[in-house]
Amino acid sequence: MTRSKDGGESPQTPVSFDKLVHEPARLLVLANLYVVDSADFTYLTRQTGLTWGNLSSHMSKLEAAGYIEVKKEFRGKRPYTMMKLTGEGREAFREYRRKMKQVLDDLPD
Amino acid sequence: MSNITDLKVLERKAFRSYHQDGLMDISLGLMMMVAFISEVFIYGSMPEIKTGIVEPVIFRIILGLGLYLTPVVIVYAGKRFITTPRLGSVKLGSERLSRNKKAKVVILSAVLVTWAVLIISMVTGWTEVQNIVQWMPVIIGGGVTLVMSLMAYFIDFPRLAVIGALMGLGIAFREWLDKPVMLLISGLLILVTGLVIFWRFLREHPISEREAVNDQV
Repeated sequence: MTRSKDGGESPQTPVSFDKLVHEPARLLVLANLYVVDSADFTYLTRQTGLTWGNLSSHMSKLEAAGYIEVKKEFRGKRPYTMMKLTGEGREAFREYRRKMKQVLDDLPD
Repeated sequence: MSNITDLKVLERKAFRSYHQDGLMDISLGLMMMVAFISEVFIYGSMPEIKTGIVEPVIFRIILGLGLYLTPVVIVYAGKRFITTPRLGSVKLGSERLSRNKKAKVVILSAVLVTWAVLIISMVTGWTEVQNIVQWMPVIIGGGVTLVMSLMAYFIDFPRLAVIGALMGLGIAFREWLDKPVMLLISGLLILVTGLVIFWRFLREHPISEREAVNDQV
């Protein structure tokens, strides 16, 4: 609630969060991908503590939304699947952080 | 949640995780031991190594270089075949890469300055004139510690400063007491610490079959 000119209170428009980003496991994945250029599944399972299947499920949703891109590489004969945030994904994460910070800053002491 | 708001902490945690394998400690400990072996058994009081083909001095240089390269090869192979399959593969962000580049420049500069000072002092003999020969062990040991501490700062690996201090002490005492065994003692301390950390790393990060092929559903 905010104060209007006549001293009364008017309702604030609630901040809406991107539900895809807001889910705790996906938020953790996006945060870990945000601070690096790209990473593979093993790295993300280690850093987030998610199981392989759980991570796979979340990555599928993020890829479908265009927030991450998946690249298969070969190093010698070994395949590696690297995940990377797209520009859209980085912007979505930044926007989420900005809104969350705004909500937290607006909370009364 | 705090990691989400403090991305620097998250990035640092990610980068430091690759130093928890103990391989850097093992490598540097082995280097100190190689220095001891080189001094005592290759460049020391052993009889001339006669190969009949290659000059003994060149043979000693090649052998010495080979020994010094061994720890480097061990670290490289360890990172590739042990650490990466367990921790996964990551490409660092541009900020970290830039920091690493700065680290290399600083370290190279420090090493070049150190070498320049040593060579100049040997050629001109100014250390004898200035009567600071007695302080050379402290200067050399301190120099090694300083360079390692700089590396520790730039690559975000605080334990490297402690390793640097142990190396510096080993070198300083070797010069001061004229006993190469100080290099061995210093190297053993670092190596044993590294092996303990490495053992703990293997226990905490077992490799699963799925991770072995980096395959996803």
